[in-house]
Amino acid sequence: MILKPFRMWATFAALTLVLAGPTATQAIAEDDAYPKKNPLAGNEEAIEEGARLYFKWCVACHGKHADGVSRFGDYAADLRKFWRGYPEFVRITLNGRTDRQMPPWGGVLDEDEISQIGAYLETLQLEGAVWVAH
Amino acid sequence: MNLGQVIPIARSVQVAVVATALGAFTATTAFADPESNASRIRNCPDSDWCHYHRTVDKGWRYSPLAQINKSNVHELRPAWIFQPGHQRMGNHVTPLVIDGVMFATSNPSTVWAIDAATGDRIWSFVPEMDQAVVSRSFFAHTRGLSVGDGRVYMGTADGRMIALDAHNGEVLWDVQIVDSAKETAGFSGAGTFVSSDLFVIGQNGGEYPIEGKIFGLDPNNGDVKWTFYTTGRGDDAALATWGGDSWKYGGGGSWQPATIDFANNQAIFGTGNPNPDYDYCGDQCRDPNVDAHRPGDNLYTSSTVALDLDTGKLNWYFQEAPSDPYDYDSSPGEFMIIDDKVVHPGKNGFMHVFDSKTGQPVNVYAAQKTQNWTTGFNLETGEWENMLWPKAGEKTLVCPAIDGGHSWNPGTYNPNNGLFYRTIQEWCMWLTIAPKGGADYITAGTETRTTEPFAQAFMAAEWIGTAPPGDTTHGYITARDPVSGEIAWEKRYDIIPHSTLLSTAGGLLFNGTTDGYLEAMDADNGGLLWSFNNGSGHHGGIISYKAGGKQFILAATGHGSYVGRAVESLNKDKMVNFQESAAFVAYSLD
Ligand code: HEC
Repeated sequence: MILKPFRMWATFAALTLVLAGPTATQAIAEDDAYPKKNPLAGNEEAIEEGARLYFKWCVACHGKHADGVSRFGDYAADLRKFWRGYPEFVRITLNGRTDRQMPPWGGVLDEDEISQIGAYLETLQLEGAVWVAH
Repeated sequence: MNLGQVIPIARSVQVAVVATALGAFTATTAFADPESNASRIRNCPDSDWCHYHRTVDKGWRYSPLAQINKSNVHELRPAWIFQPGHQRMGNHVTPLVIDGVMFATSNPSTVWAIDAATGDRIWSFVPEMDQAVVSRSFFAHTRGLSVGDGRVYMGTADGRMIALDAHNGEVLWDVQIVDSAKETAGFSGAGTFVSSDLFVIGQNGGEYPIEGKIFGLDPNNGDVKWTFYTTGRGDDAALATWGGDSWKYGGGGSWQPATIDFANNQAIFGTGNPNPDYDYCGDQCRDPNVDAHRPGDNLYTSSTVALDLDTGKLNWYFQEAPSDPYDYDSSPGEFMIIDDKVVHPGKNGFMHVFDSKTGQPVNVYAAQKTQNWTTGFNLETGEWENMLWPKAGEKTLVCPAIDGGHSWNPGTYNPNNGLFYRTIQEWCMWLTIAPKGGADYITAGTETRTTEPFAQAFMAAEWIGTAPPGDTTHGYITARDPVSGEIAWEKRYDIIPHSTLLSTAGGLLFNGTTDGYLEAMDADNGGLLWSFNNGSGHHGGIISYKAGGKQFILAATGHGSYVGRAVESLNKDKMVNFQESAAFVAYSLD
């Protein structure tokens, strides 16, 4: 176990700043960074892979039905009713909403994998869900 | 942080930049000058609340103050209210009061110093944390903090221990103890200041495939003096109770503060459940050689452990559920020291009474009425008898539910009448353990063990809370002799209260109800003497202290812990608007 005094952490942070290059947030800042529609929507293989990824990374909070109910109760958003369109889906999944306990997945999942999860979730959608952006 | 390991750059850079630019945020409007030397903390004055359970060495939550008593409690009214602002999940904290200054925390890891007589803020401290880590943890909440030798000790959700100057909230040291970027688990906050040389705290972690740990730290600088591995590292006897290398992912940890047994130079902790929470090996699970996630008894998870203060070595242990098939971890439930006994209300629905020196169980009795997981503990053979072993894939009724017969909200022991008061939860769950390889009907956590790039919650079952057979879910406050178990009185609540309890020398017992009321009862018979609608459920501490010559009662209000949510989901119609709100409400006689 190595101890990490605050000052060391700060120095390390300054170093990483130089080394890291553009972050996920910067990379997706442009408006049309993502297609309006999930390129993998309806793709059987993508849906299967997306389900596998969902049950690995998302199920703990969003629950087995993707309704936001999990071990910890009514915990997260109901993704069957996702209505913000595909580009927002990618953006939120990459960056999270850390102030609301939605973690960022940039650096864990790449865009392709996020599309696969999106393709799986689209198959669960309820009335009112919107996956294609205007 | 392990030697040679580098923080994944892309994920931590934004947070790191913030940390560099701003550091943590301390706001000071005044300076406090509380006397908090080690001797005062160890011999807590009647006026103070020095530790999570008031005193470091008893775990009683009993206040020797009697200005507020049976004859005048009806005149109790709010003196001040302090709102910590937006906070997910309400207050879980039990604040401390030392020499007129209240030290409190709010979620995830913010610290407040408040004038205990007026509610005026003295200073506050918001640590900059790795938000990616904090947001993916299920334990981004705080149960409290510790004070001693002029420092405030705060365990953060991202695995650091931070010591602040009690006078102004300035950071004295800040040490990464748990590699939370990897383990996801961190600290829920409250540790125990033992002496000028020792501070002890456990990390949370039963839901994660990690090695849970308990730490002995030097309060002067945060140096780790010893580490106790709750899944057996370095202990052959313990490792023999885990199949293969499953101990490396065995969870455990310890997420509530210890009680210190100074007579035997030991800290009494409860450890978390093994990981995953559930396993598919059914009635073969105790055999370390069977095919399973974590075959064997899984020492020292779901156990009471007594650790030597100087070395962190195990003096004795008692496992409250071998190869725990129910998630009855032993972290919740206070460890009381009464004469030469350690008494622990377990999540398993039992009360455990041990000889504090040897750990020999002297009485183990069912406190919950509807438990069905065992016919009881045999003091002669040292075995839990006729344990229920749910089969993978089969829906099985298990009582108590995962949320426990006793939960983490501590009860209180009144030495004047010898009665122990405790909330007991009567509920069950329909448990379906995921078969080998996982199943998409699981409700919780990943299907398989995930440790890279960081640990994901891994629970491997589905469970649905339900009422005990022939009844509705309900709770009791029970008053009894803690050693013999003999009941003096009990009081039923149709909505389980999930509040801490407080007893006082004024002959009073305080409870906070889930539907909003702080209530004062006659400690002798449970008769209601006073109540006040706080407009919010209760999970946090109810404490008493004296400031400016006056006795106060203070409740940390707010609803939304996981157990609280389970209560809520079973009582939706009665529980509107009680989530997430939080305040510190102080009461006095005038
Ligand atoms: C640690 C818990 C957690 C995990 C794991 C998690 N989420 Fe979330 N997620 C949340 C919470 C909580 C919210 C609601 C945030 C809010 O209230 O704004 C949310 C919200 C979202 C939203 C926004 C929904 C909306 O309508 O605005 C999306 C999209 C989302 N999550 C996708 C995912 C995906 C995809 C995964 C898996 C890769 C995932 N989440 C994993 C907790 C989690």
